[in-house]
Amino acid sequence: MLSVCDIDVFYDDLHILHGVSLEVGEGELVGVVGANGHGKSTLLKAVCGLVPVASGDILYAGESIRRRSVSELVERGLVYVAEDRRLFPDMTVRENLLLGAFLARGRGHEQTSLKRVFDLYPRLAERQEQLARTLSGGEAQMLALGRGLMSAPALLAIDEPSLGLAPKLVDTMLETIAELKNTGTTILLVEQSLGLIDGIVDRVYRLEEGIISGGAARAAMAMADHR
Amino acid sequence: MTQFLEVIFGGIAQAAAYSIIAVGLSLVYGTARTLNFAHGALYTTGAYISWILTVGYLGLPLWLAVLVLIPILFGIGVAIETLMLRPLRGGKNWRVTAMMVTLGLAFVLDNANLILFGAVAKPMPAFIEGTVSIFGVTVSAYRVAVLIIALIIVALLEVFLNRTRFGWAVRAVAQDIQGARQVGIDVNRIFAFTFGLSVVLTGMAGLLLSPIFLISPQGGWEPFLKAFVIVVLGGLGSTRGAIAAAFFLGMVEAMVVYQLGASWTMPVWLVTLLLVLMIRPQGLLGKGQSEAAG
Repeated sequence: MLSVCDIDVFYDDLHILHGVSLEVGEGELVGVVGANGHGKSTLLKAVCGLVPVASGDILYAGESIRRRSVSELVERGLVYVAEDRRLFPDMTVRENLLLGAFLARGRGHEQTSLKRVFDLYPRLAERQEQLARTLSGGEAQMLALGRGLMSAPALLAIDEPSLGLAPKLVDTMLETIAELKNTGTTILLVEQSLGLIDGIVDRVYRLEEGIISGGAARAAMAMADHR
Repeated sequence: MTQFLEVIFGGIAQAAAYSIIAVGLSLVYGTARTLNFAHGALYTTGAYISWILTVGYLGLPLWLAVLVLIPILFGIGVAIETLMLRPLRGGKNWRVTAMMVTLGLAFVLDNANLILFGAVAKPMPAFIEGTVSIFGVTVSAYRVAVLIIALIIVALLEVFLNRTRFGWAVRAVAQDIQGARQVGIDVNRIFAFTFGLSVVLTGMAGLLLSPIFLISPQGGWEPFLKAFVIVVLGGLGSTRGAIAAAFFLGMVEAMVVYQLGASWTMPVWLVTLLLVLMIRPQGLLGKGQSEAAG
């Protein structure tokens, strides 16, 4: 579904990603782990069109998307959920969610998506009319993910959802992500440590100093062990 | 007492017009994070264009002149944003560079207006003659009209920002640019649109205030400075704050003019600004930094 082929990404003069390649198949939950500052967020942002790619290519549903605008990508179901949430602080929870369905793709399913988010997080339903700035860290993360779901994503790129959450909330968050996978959403998930997401991912890549490694399918590895 | 009330009313009417200028300045600052120094020069330009459309050359009736004026002003704003500011965005120190570019533009516009229209101020007839009596106070009908029109414009703007899909997108961009991009909002379109809208607002204020102040090439600097004080006082980027601040300062101005004389206006505005910022650094209705971070 998504193929990142040998991309290089720079921030000003800083060379962040060095020839990174990865694959995400339809319906897969693929993890990328690595320490802070090694380019995980940059990778997700490059995939979602939020930072420019200097060389290499990104294929989505068989088509090059390297030069597409973020709006076009969101319209095709490629949606980014930021580690720092990026909510609209002076809007209500409901308004934040509705803005997730800003483009035609999301607007078509506005009511069903809203119901889906509220079923997933009854907490958000209770706080609909509250301003986003007044939410706790856990609630803000729920809203960030909820807003992403409102765009009716086909591939959700989730950036460190555990950031700043209490351990118990992290478990709940990861359960939710596994649940999303089971309902058919393809997910590319970035986290700091493998231990956190080991139980839910299909495959894992490791990103160190902008260089990627790993990514073998667990099923394939298991089969290799059998032989 | 009657005279005092007349002065107060005059202050309110002018404040309403200033609030339009200020809201335009605040919109662009809030969304594109650019402080537009050409806002006053565009106010003057709007006034000159309406002069050409009406008494100057074409002799159009007011309603038709306004209908022609709005798209011209909007186009000027979109052109400035897309041709002059967009190429700078994202570069090193682009905010300062953009500010300097708008300052340069202000001088270019001022001098172009000086060459085209001369240094002598152009008079503009009031579109409505006569006086009306409100609670025994006699005020010019034109000032009443300015007040009503300005309030309608501000109300329309609030409806646009809060009730339309595009207005939501403008607010989203003002609150978090990356967040807005993530949900698929084309932020460049929003920047161009708000800049166009802000030029429409300041140009319309130029039209509204020209029968009161005449039109002169440098005439935009005082409204710009006042709009700047209003925006800072109201809290940067806050539309409602700007409106509240405009009326507050309009009343202060009216009382100063009544008690001390018109030359004290600007010093008193600035002292008021200093005092308010000492007590509330975030402005009247602005959000505090710590609040914004949490």
